[in-house]
Amino acid sequence: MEVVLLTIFAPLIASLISLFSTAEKFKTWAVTLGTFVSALLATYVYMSIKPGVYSVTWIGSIGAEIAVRLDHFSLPMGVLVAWLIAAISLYSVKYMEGDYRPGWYWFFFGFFATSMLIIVYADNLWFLLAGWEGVGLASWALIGHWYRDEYDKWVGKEEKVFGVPYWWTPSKAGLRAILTVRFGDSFFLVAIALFYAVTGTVSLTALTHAGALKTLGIVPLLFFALGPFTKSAQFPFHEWLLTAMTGPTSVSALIHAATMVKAGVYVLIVTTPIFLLVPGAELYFWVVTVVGVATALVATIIALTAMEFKLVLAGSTAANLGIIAAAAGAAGLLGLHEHELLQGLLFFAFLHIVGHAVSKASLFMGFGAVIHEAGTRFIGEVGRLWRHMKITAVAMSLSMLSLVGIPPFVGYVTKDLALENVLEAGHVYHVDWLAPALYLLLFITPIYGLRLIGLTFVHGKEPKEVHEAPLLMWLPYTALAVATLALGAYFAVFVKFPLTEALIAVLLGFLTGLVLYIWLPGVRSEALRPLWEVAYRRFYLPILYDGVLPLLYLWFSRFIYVVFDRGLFDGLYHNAIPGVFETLSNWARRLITGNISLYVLYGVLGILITLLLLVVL
Amino acid sequence: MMILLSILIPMALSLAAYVAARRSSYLAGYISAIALMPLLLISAYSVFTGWEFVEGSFQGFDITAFKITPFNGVFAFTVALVGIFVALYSPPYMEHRSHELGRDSSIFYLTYGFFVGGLAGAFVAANLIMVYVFIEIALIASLFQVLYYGYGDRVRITVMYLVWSHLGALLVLAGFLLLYLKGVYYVPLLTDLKYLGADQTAFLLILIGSLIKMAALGVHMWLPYVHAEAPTPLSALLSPVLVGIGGYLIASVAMYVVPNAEWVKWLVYYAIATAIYGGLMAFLQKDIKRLFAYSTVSQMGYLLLGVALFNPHGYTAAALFYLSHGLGKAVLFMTAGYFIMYLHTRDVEKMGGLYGWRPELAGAAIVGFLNLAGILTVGMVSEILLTVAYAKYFIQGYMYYIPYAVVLLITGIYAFNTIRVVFFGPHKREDRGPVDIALMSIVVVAFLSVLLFLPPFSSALADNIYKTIVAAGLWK
Repeated sequence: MEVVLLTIFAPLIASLISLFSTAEKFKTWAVTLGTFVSALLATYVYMSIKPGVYSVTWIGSIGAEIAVRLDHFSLPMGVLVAWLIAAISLYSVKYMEGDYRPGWYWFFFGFFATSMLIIVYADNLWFLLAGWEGVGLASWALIGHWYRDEYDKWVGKEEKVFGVPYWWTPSKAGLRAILTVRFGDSFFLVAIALFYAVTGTVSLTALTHAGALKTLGIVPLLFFALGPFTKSAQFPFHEWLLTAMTGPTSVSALIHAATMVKAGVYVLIVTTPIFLLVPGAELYFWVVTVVGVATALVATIIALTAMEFKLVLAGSTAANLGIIAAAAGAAGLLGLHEHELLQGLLFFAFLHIVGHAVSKASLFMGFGAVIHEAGTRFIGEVGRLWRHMKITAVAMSLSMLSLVGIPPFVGYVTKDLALENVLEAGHVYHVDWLAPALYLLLFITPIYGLRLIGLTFVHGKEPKEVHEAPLLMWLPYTALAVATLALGAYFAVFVKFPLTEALIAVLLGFLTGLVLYIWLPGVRSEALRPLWEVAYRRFYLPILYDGVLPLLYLWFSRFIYVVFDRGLFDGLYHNAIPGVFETLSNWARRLITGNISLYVLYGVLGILITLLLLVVL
Repeated sequence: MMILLSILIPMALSLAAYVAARRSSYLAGYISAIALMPLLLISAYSVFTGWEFVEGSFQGFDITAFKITPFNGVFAFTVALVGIFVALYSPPYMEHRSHELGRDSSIFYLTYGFFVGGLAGAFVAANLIMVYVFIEIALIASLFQVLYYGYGDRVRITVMYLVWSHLGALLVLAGFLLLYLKGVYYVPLLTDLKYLGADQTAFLLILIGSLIKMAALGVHMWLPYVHAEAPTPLSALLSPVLVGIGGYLIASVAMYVVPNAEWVKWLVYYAIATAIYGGLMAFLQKDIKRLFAYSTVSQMGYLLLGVALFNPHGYTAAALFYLSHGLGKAVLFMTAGYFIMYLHTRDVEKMGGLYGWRPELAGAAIVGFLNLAGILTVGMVSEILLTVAYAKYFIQGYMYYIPYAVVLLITGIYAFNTIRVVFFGPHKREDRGPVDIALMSIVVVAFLSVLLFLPPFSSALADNIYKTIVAAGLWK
């Protein structure tokens, strides 16, 4: 237990220590050391600690425990997360050198790591919630890290669409992220409280056998799912993830590969066995599956048309999260019929977290180096970089092939296994549109991957002065790029090497991408422009989030303010009532004339009224 | 005598602070802070160990009856803790304000001890009439502070404060007197009394009086004016600790005569409406002190909700909200005071990019907001407890969870939006905010609110209060 807690809290402890020095070097190395300690300990936990649940009481009256669960999900996930964080931390040493806010960055870096590790290992949902709120807060802090809102940190250009600003400064992107997540978390919190109110426990292990869950319907499950949906950027909550690109690239790597968004799908996976108990779970699993597939499609199309390096990668993250969510939902659907299959199917969904994380961490760090060296965040403003950044070009190509799912890279193996879940569910439940939708997805995916590689490294405007990234930066992402191959081979041998008709869709997409962006670049069709515009504007969803909803909120508040606060309450208490008093007192004052005979009259009248009252009563 | 002394010491030492203030505000501030130490120790002991302090005979009409349980202890603890740090914070501010007004700060420190002592007395006194007397002491003391050191049209604001707070206090007193006629002389929650049976008139009197004090929706109009125009150290105490007294009175007295479950249900709706209303209004304000004042209205909605849910988790949540809001809002009002001192503005639109001006201040203020939003501070413990209470109350009435989630979201919106507007964005200033005892007090209070979230503090806090409430057995 102590070792696991130290694994979890080592980065946070390092972060707290880093606050006591103003030296940037000290902060950097303190937190980096903390993350490496955590990674080594996670490996130790994986190797030598017996699986099981270990806990101490936190707050007895709400069943809160500091409980860790070591099982076939949390153990590998812990190793993955801790090592990715350590790698990104090492990369940040150089990437964030000379930054204007090192204290903030390194504090929240360690805080982020600890929060994520809490989610990974937590068995108690209240303990998990602490980590859950922690990753939300840390992502807000780091997305808005460059709080001065300089132009080169923005997402988008300074232009308006239908009167709504289509650019996002870091502070605005941070606000979008935290509010989206806050929306989901409110319901997530409510759902956990409901579980506690009904079953008297919020331990994941105990909930798996909690018969009282049968009294719940599907609504609490949907409340619960809003948490993972917002956190994992599922449609229609994927917008925050795209504008989260305002953060430093190392943060993007952290959010997309190791923490935050992975938390959501991870929680979807580990709670699936619990929700099987609830009547109406089938509908819940369908919601998860369909939302996942929709997210994957929408985000893939966005990735295809984005004009910023990081936006392509962000779109692809949302797409892969959709695939993982769909695979988890499908595992639940299939598990409803064949319970013994459930754990295996969930493990396929889980594997794609691994496959995607390794590829994506590498890609973000690599393209971070590209942006860093080339000094632009837009695709097309710099090209032919393979001449200047050979190591990066090779590493990025390898990782990209893995990301878009070309065999034998890890991305292919895990994505295909995950999609098999969904295809199987579609087959068992006779949902015919699922398979074509997935094939379409698989077809487009390699195209956006090759587009990014082609336009960055192979073709385009050649820059004058661009150098290879420093060793401390390229080492982590190149190592991860190589790992995509090694892990692919490992999974293929020890888990399964899938070989299905899906491969045809992937290869067709790959060939199309190769033709369009590597062999014959510059082939364009103006006829497709309106379609491109819709996708490029991200289906105009930002208009809802940045225009309509805030305006409605503002107008509604103003309406209440003017009508009730100013009008009714202020008017009543500070105008009407004092006014009445003033009139009354003015009237009463007129009685005081100084005329003594009038006063005698008042006296007599008073006595008479008193007597009258006495007689009546 | 221990409890009584811990309340009288701040009052007695305020005379010393008065004399000291003529020479140095700092000395007066230190004296005022030290005077609260006994109260802090005794209430902290009760809250963290579960020990109950009892004084007096509780026989007949005993005005020396005092009691500290973890439940009312956490209120007294908040008063003492916030009182100490506001006292430490106040000297630079009061010097600045004295300079503006051309009047020394002695009256502030003379009334400070009475104000804080009176507040604490209202929480730990068991005799109902003494509760009223202590409330009056606190009210009158704070009236002088607004009158002497307030902003804007001080005289008008003072009259507004006088009228409203006394209207509230008198209604409460009338309710107490009705209970007195029934032979209830002591705060029921502090005695062995169980539910006393329906008494509509007494319930309504105490409820409405308390709601006025809490500035609940519809009777909140005085609060944004008073809290915005009061001298800022006073606002830092008024906003979190004075208004919460209403919640305590409803929980510990009024609910013992609540007519029936129907009333409870409407009180729940009303509490949610208050929380939503305050949050919406806070979002619109441009004056940072008015913004915080409306946020207090919203937070009082949370506190009232905890009480209205009428179960042990709800009561525990209400007590913890008093603590978390007390710490969070004290941090925020002190931050507003820091702006007034060194930026000479209260207009949020003139702020922006202030993170670079003084990062420690920004960090502390963010923690202050996190307390309100219930994220990873002691505010989270209260929020979780409140949600559990809510779930226990509504169970499968799933529709009712939506307004609750909306409350949480609205709080998040104004909290994070304000952080963005005030602290982020391009720099507007080249200088740096000075490091002084005011800044240090802000940072320490923020730190404490995080510390109290961690075990073993949060474990002891929540569980001891919960046990006290269950033992009180109001629901059996």
